[in-house]
Amino acid sequence: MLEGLFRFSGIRKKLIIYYLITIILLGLTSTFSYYNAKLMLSRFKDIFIDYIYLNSLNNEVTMLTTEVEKYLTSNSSEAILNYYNYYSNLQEKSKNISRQPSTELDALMLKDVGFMLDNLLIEADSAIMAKRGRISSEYISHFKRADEISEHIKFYINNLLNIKLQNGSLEYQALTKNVSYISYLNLMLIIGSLILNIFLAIFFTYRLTKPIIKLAHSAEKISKGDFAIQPLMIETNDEINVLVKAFNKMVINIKSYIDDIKGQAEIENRLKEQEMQNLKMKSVLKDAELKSLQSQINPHFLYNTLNTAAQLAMLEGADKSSQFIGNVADLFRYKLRKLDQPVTLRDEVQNVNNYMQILKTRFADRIEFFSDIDEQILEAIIPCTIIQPIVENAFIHGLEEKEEKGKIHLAVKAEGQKIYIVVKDNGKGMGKREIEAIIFDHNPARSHVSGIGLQNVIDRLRLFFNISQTEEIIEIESELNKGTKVTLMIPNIKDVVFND
Amino acid sequence: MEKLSGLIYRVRNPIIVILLILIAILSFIFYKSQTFEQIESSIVPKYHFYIISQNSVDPFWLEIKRGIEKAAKQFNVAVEFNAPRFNNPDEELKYLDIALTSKVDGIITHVSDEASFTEAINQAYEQNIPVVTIENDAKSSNRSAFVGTNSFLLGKEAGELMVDATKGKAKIGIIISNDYALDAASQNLKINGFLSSVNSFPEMEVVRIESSKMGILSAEEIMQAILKEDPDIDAIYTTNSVDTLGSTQVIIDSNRVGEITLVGYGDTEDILRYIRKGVIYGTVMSDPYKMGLESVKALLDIKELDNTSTFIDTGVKAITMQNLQEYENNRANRAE
Repeated sequence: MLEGLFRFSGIRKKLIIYYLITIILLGLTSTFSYYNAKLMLSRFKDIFIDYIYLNSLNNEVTMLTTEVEKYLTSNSSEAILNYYNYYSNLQEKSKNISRQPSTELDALMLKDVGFMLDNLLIEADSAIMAKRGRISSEYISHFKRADEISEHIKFYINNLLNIKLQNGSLEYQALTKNVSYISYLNLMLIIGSLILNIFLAIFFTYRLTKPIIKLAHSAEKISKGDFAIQPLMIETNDEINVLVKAFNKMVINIKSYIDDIKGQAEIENRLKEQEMQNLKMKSVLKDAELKSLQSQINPHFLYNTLNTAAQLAMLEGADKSSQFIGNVADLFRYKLRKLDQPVTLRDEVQNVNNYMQILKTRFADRIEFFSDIDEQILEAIIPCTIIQPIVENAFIHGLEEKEEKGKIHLAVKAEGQKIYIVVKDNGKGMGKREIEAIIFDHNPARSHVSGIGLQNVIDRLRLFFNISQTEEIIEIESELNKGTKVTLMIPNIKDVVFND
Repeated sequence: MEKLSGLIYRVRNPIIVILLILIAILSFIFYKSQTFEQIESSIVPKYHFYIISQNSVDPFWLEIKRGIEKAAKQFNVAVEFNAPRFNNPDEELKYLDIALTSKVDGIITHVSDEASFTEAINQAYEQNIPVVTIENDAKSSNRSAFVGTNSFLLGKEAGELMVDATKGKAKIGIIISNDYALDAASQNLKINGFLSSVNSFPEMEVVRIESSKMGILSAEEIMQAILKEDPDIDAIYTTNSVDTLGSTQVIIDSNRVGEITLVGYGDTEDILRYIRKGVIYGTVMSDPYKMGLESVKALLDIKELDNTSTFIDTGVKAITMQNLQEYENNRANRAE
């Protein structure tokens, strides 16, 4: 409890010191004024006390002689009572008068008065006694002497009063001069202390509130979200310093948190951007890949040549040649399509038919082609040159070296949302290794018409339909010397606009 | 303790320093305002002496007062002066009575009227209060001592001055101060002294003796009468300073400076100035300062040694133009 009360620190100490200063200043000023006023009063009192004392002394001496006279003439008991009253009073007064010689004239005179009083009382008493003893000659002489002495006393008191009056007036002049000086001094002191107090009040208030206001301004800025403020530099040794330090720390912490969050967001952004870029790159790559794959085939010249040859054959009347060459030309014309444009399944099937016609022509009865086409789904969209390479594969790998009759089945059917394109041959078949080699053969096929191997077909399908798993696109079943069955499974999409 | 040292450290704060200075100044003013009334006499005087002089205006008596004050200070004695404003033997007697009733330790008094003063002085003697008479004596009383100048010597000195001034050939008028005709004896002594000096010169003749009564105006009146009625008087002797000044004034007014030789009495500023100018040939002077001094010493001797000589002569001095400077210097030195 007490510990808390007397622990002066920080703002509390400052305030206490300030109040103490103010109180002490004003207190001193008023004490000084009070003291001066009291001093003046007591000195004025000193002057008047002497007057009063001398005056009462004078009166009592007069009264004493009067009472003595009264008694002497009238023998009145009242007079004697009064006489004794004055007698004892004067005796008391006489006792109180110092009998020490002094360098001061008034003290000397008062001493004289003291001795004269003693003599007066003796004479008066003797007169009274003589009266009581009825010795008339004696009491008259004693009374005369007493009267003389009382005159002396009065004379002296008068002189004393004169002297005192003179001294008093001098002192009064000095005092009034002093009083005016002191009141002037008091006024100056009061004004001075007032000014000082006002100054101190302003000074202390500014000193105390300046850091708080600074702090408030900073807080306001921060509340508006402006964290770019300088750290407050306030060097006080009170709680405000603690506050400011805490505030600065807080600002720095908040700033660093915000910076952290911003950094993270940036990193995330950058990651996303990178991802986007990666994706774009990928798509570009895919695109490029597609284009490069497609551009391996450049059948323009061949097509034109074949077309010319077909017309030539027709002119020469060789219909079969003309048809054959026409088929070849069609095959190549198909390649001349815009390679990036997907085609319909119908076009694809037509293309396969063309190819098969060519093969039939080449190999006559050694090869047979069957197709089982679901006309309903022929409008589905697929990348071009997909089925032909598979059929070609079946011919090249399965049937070419076979002596007996080769058969190739093409089946296109819908099952659910998917389209199944099945190419079956009765060729020599493959082992598992060979199947994998076909699927994952990265070398482009050497002797393919289209220059596109199975691997390429798979890749393009995957990119086109955005399917990553090879197994979802293609399925190859094969048995040695019995044949191979290749099934393509693609989504049934119609009229989808691909953005590239 | 830590708090305390912290507080002391805090004192470096400029405001606290200012405050401390302010408090110091205020307390200093307090202290000063309190001390100026604490001047008090610390020494208690040994005795209380009562002085009664002939009057309170005569430079002669003022000079005596100075001597007494000097001695009082020197011997640590309290002195109380009382005097009628102008010569008034009754008042002097009243003061003497007051002194007696007041049981003072000693009285120094001028004697105006030997008969009435003797009674009072004897009363004092009975009450064991020593009395020293000054300037004028009451020979038949029980006074303890007389301090003053021998009047005969004063007159004789004046006569010698007159002889010097007139080279032994003069018709002389004398103005004596004769208030109340009290100290006739003393005045007679002066005249006798004067005559004793003059008589040996046959060509010197005292033609007229007048007595002044009422101070300076009276002297002027007499002087005018003398000049008018006795035009052949060419030398005047006056026996007090007031008469001297009055006569001088008349001589100047009637344009007879240089024709009339004036030998006077006193050493007031005016008289000294006239001596310097040559209007007054010279004055004789008892030494009032020394009188004052010696009277206090005499009383002290009586109080402490119970013994002193009954007549203390303070000497006679003649002041002329020749020794004027020396005299003034001495006086100036004494004043300090």
